[in-house]
Amino acid sequence: MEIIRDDYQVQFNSDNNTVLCSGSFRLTGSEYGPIMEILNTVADEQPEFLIMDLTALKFLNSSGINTLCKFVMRLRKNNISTVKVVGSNEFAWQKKSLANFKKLLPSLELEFE
Amino acid sequence: MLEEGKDSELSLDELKAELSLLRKQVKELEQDKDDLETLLEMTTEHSDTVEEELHGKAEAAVRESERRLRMIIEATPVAVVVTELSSSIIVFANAIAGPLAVGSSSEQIVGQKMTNFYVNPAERAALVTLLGKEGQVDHHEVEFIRKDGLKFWVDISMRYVEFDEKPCILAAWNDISHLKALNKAASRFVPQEYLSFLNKDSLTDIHLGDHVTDEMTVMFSDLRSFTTISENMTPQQNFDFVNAYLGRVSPMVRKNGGFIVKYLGDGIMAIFPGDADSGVQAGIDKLNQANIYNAERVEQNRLPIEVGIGVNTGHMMVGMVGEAGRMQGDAFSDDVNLTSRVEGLTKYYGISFIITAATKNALVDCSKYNIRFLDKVRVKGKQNTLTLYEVYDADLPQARALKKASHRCYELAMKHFYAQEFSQAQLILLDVLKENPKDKVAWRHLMKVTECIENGVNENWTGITIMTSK
Repeated sequence: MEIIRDDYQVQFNSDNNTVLCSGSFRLTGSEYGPIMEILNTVADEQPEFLIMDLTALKFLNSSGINTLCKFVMRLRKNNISTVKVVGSNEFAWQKKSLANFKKLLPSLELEFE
Repeated sequence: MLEEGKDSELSLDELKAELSLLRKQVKELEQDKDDLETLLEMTTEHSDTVEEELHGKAEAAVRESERRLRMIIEATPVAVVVTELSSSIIVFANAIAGPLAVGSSSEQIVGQKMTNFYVNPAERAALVTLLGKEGQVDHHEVEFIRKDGLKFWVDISMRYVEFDEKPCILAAWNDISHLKALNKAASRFVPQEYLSFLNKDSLTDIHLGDHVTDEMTVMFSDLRSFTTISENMTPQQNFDFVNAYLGRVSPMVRKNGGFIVKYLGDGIMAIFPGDADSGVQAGIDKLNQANIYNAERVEQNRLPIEVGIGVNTGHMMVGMVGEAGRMQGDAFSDDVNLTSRVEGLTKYYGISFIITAATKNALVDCSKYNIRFLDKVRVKGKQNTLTLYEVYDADLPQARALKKASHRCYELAMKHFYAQEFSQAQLILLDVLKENPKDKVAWRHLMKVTECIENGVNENWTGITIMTSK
């Protein structure tokens, strides 16, 4: 499962249960539909654990953070509590915004590299 | 959910179950509400973060762009100045513009009127008009003046720009004073008149072999007494003497519309592209200058100089000769060679100024000058007979008056001579010489006439003087 565009990419690797989001997400609300679909499918497969690799996520607009939040909420709803989000120190906004995921899923683990 | 109207029919257990369900749903709703609040909060916070970051980046980009532009403008090796269109007040100047325009820093010229730095402010007005008409001004040469009075030439270009939301003029210039100085220096070697004569705008356009072929008047002049005078001089004195002489006579060539093609030591080769009169007048003026110089020299107990001038008119090529790395102006043709010989003959006849019949015939108004027949000669190496005339306008007043008084008699004597009426010629010449014993030409003719009387002449006699030496 993946969406590959020139400026952004979303991929799910079932071998290591990793969702990879990279590039710059500057889409409008409805344009996130296909991405949300992939993420919902991943959440609904009830994996034991999940890793979100955001190390190459340069930019995310408001609708984008909204989409990721909804995904985290879905994981919580599906009782997937072992979730690790890996961000990058390179993109200053990630430190602030990704930390908020914990409010939605307190067991979520955050890591920056 | 409970159905309306059936409340009373529910049992206690059912009611408990219903209550538990309701509690669960309320909990879920609360969770959803919390989630929505968190979501809103997160989204807003994220928006703020990203917006802040983008704003910072944009500001940095603008600052960087300004820094780079300023760096380029400041490092540009030409002066850049922005002036308000309406007031001509300087609103920006790069570092190089300041010292160039006022001999101080660029800050000090900001706020001043650009017009103040033009030697001729009308020139700026003209450039601004041109800018209005053509939209751009490229490479105009104008003279600037600094506050300290130093003048310098610049090559200036102009464009319209908007600066601080006001219509302005951006001017960029280069100091070209050194170039101007160089051009001035170069013009002393190849004069402007010579360039225009060759139809060239600039010295850089001059190439080997460039030439003009036309009928022109050529003049050779020489300092006949140079060797005698310079014998006892040091090399420096020699230079000073030659330059003092050339400095006095050379301007007479320019004054009469000619130009000096080259100097031949103390000699001058000059061309007059206009009428022959200009060549003759230049010769007279040169001799008059020599007379003034001589008066000074005599006063200082120095030997007077003697100048010989030959002028001829004919077809000639004037152009550049030499090799690509070293060239000079020159003129050649048979007529040019002949002129050099004619000049040499001044020594033989003991006079200052000889012109050929070609020049005399080309004169617009020969009655303006004191011209008398000199001789018919055949110079060494040439077949054609040359008729020569003496111009004695620049003889000293007494000599000129005597020559003028005997002019008719003298020419009558020459007519008798060529008609082989030697006795009549001899008598008249003796009369001429009685009045003017210093008339060296008359003496020479008298000797010739006498020889003809004593030795007789054969049937092929023409009276032409054959020059056996150059």
